[in-house]
Amino acid sequence: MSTAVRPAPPRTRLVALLTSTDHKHVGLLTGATALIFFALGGLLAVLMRTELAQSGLQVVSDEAYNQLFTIHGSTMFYLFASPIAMAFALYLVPLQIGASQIIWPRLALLGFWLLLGAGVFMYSGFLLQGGAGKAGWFAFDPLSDDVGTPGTGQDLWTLAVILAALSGILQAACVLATIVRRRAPTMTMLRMPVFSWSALVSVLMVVTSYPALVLAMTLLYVDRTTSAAVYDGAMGPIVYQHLFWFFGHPVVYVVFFPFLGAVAEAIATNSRKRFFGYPFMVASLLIFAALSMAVWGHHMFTTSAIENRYFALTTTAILVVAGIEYFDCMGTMWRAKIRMRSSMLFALGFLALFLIGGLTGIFVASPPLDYHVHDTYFVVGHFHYTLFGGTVFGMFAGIYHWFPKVTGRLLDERLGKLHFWLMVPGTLLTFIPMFVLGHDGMTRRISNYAADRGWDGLNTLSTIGSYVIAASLLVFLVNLLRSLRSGTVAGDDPWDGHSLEWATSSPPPQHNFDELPPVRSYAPLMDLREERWRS
Amino acid sequence: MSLAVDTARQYEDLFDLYWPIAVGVMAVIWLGLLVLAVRYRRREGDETWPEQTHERPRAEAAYVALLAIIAAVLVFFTFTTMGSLTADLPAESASGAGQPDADPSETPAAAITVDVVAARWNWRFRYRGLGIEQVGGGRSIPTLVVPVGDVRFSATSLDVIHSFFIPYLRFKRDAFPERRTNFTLGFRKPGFHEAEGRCAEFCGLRHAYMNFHVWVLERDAFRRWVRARQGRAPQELTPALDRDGRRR
Repeated sequence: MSTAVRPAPPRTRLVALLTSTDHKHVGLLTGATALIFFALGGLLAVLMRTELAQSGLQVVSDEAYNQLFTIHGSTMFYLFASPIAMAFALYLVPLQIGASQIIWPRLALLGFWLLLGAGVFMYSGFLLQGGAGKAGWFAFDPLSDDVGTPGTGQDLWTLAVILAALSGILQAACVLATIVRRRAPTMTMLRMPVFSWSALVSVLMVVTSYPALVLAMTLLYVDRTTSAAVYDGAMGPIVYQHLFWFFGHPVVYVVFFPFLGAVAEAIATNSRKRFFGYPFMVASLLIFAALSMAVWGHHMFTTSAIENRYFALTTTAILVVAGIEYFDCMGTMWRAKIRMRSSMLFALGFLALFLIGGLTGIFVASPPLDYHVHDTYFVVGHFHYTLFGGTVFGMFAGIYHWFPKVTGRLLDERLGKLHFWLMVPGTLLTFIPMFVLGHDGMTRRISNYAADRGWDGLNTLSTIGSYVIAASLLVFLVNLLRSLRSGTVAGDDPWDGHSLEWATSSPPPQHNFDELPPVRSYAPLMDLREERWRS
Repeated sequence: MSLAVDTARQYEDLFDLYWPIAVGVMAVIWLGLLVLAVRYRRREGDETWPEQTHERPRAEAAYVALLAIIAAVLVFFTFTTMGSLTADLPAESASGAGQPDADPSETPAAAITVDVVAARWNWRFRYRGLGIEQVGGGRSIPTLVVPVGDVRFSATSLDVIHSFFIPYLRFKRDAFPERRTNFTLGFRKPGFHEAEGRCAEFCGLRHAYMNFHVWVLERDAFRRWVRARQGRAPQELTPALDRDGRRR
C-alpha cells in the first residue's frame, strides 16, 4: 500500500497527550482521571458521614442522601477502582514483560474516552432538577425502572455504567492480548512478575464478567425508555440480580488483584529478596479468579431464590487461596533486610487491614450469619476493609513504588509516612464502629436513625475517622503536587528493583527499552545481581 | 417453650464458633507482621543483601492443607446449622397465595400464618383466616402482633424489593413483587419491641423510616387480642406511635 501521507498538523502537548496511543500515556490519563473521581467520590462519602454523625437530618435531605450514596458507590467502582486497576495494568504490564507497545492501542485510548464520557454522564445528573442517579450502585430492578425511579438522572446513570463497563472491557482486552502476544522472546508465562500475573487474572475476569453488566444495564435502559417490560414477572428481579452480581462479585477481585500484585512487588523490592513461593502464588491467583466467578450468589442469600449451600461452599473456599497470599508475602519478609519506605508501610497496611475485610467476609459467606448482617452496616464495614483497606492501601503502595518510574522523581518520604500514619487510624476509626452498628441492626442506605437507638456515639466516631482519612489524602495531594514539580530526581532504578521496568529510563522512552536484559526468571534484575555476586 | 425455629439461637451459636477463629487468625497474622517488620528491619547503614530463600514448598503445602481443614470445618458447621433448623419454606408464585404447597411433614407446624405485604414505605400484616389486618398510617408505623411460638410468614411486595428484617431474631428475608417468600420464625418471649422491625433493602425516598413494631403476646393474650380485634376497622387498635416508635 502506498498512499501519500500528509504531514500531521502540529499539536499542543495536551492534545498530543489526549490522542496518544502510547500505552504509558493511556495508562496515565486513565489513572489520573480515576484519581480525580476518587477525590470526588471521597467528597461524597465525607458528606454522607457528616449527615450520619448524629441522629436526625442536619445536612442533606433524604432525597439528596440517596443520590450521595448512589453516586459514591458508583464512582468508586465504575469510575475509580476499576479504571485505576486497568491504568496500572496498561502502564506497567508491557514494561514488566518487555513489550514495546500494546496490542490495539487505539482501543485502549477509546477506553479512556469512554470512561471520561461515563463520568460526565453520571455527574451531569446533579445539574438536573430531579438530581442524579439514586437507586444505589447495584440499582436493583424494579427500583431502578422508570416507575421505581423516574427521571433523566437515572437514565444518565444507566448509560454511564454501560460506558464505564465498555471502557473496562476494551482496556482489559488490550492488556490480555498484549500478555498473550507481546511478551519478550525469553519471557515465558512463568517468568512474568507477580504484578503482571495479578493483572492477567484481573483482566481475564473483566472480559468474562463485565459483559454481564453491559447486558443487565442495556436491558435496564430498554426497560426504562421503551414499553418493553424486560424484568417484569415473578423472576424478572431475580434475573436482574443474577446478571448484576455475575459482574458485581468478580469486580471486587478485579479491583483487588492488581493491587495485591503491587503489594507483592513493593514487599519483595523493599525486602531485597525475590518474591517467596512464586509457583504457589501464581496457582492461587488463577484458582482465586476461577472461584470468584462462582460465588456471586452469596449476595442473594436472603432472596430464597438460590441454592445457598453451593454459594456458601464456594465463597468459604476462597479463604484457602487468599491465605496463600499472606504466607507468600510474609515469607518474603522472613530473613529479609526490610527498608521501611512508604511503599512498604502501605503494603503492610494492606495486609493488616485487608485481613479484617477478609475474615469478616468468611462470616457473611455463611448464610445463617448473613441472614442477620446482610444489608446492614456490618457488610458496609466488611467491604470497606476489602476495598479501602485492600484496594486503596495497595494502590498507594503501588503509587509510592512506581511514581519514580513514571515521573522520574521521588515522592517525599516524610510526607508519605505522615500520609500512612494518618490513614491507618482513620481507616480503623471509620470502619470498625460499622461492625458494631450493623450487628446491632443498623441497616445501610439510611439517611437518618432514631435518637433512642443509641447509635449516635459510634456514628460520630466513624465520622471523625472519615475526616482523618480526608486529611491523610490531602497530605498525599500536597506530596504529589510538590514532588511532580520539585521532587528529588529518581534515576532509573532507585529501589534496586527486580523486574524489567527498572531496566529502562524513568520515565521510559516511547519504545520502552533500548536494550532488554536477559530474562531467566520472574526477577531478571535479581539474576543479574546474583551473577555479579558470584563473579 | 420449645421452638421449631430459633433463628437467634442459630445465629448466636454459629457466630460463637466463627468469631474466636477469626480473632485468633487475626492475632497470629498481626503479630507475625509486627515481628517480621521489627526483626528483619534493615539496620542503619547495612547495604548488604539478605540470603535469598524464596520457597519452602513443603511448609507451604502443609499450610494450605491447614487452611483447607479450617474451611471444611466452617462449611460443615454452617451446613449443619442450615440443616437442623431451617426457616425457609418453599416459595410460591403470587397467584398461589393462600395455598402453600409445602409438604406439611417437612415444615414446622406453625399455628398462624401472616401475609406480609410491603409497599413503599409501609407494611401490611394480614392474618390468614382470622380476618385481621395491621397497617401503618401516614404518621404511624404498624405493629406486628404475634403469639409466643412459631409463626409462618409469607412476604410479598406491591412495588419494589423490600426486606423484612427483625434484628433481635437475627433474620431477614426479601419481599419481591409478584412473588412470595415463605419462612417461619419462632418467638421465644413475650414483649413489645419498639420499632424493631425494619426494611433492609433500599427502596427509595423513605426507606429509612419503613419500620414496624413487634409485639409478642402469650398465647392466651394473643387469643384475646384476636377476638377483640376481629370485626373492627384496620387501624383502630394499632398503638398510636409515630414513625420513630415513640408513643404519641
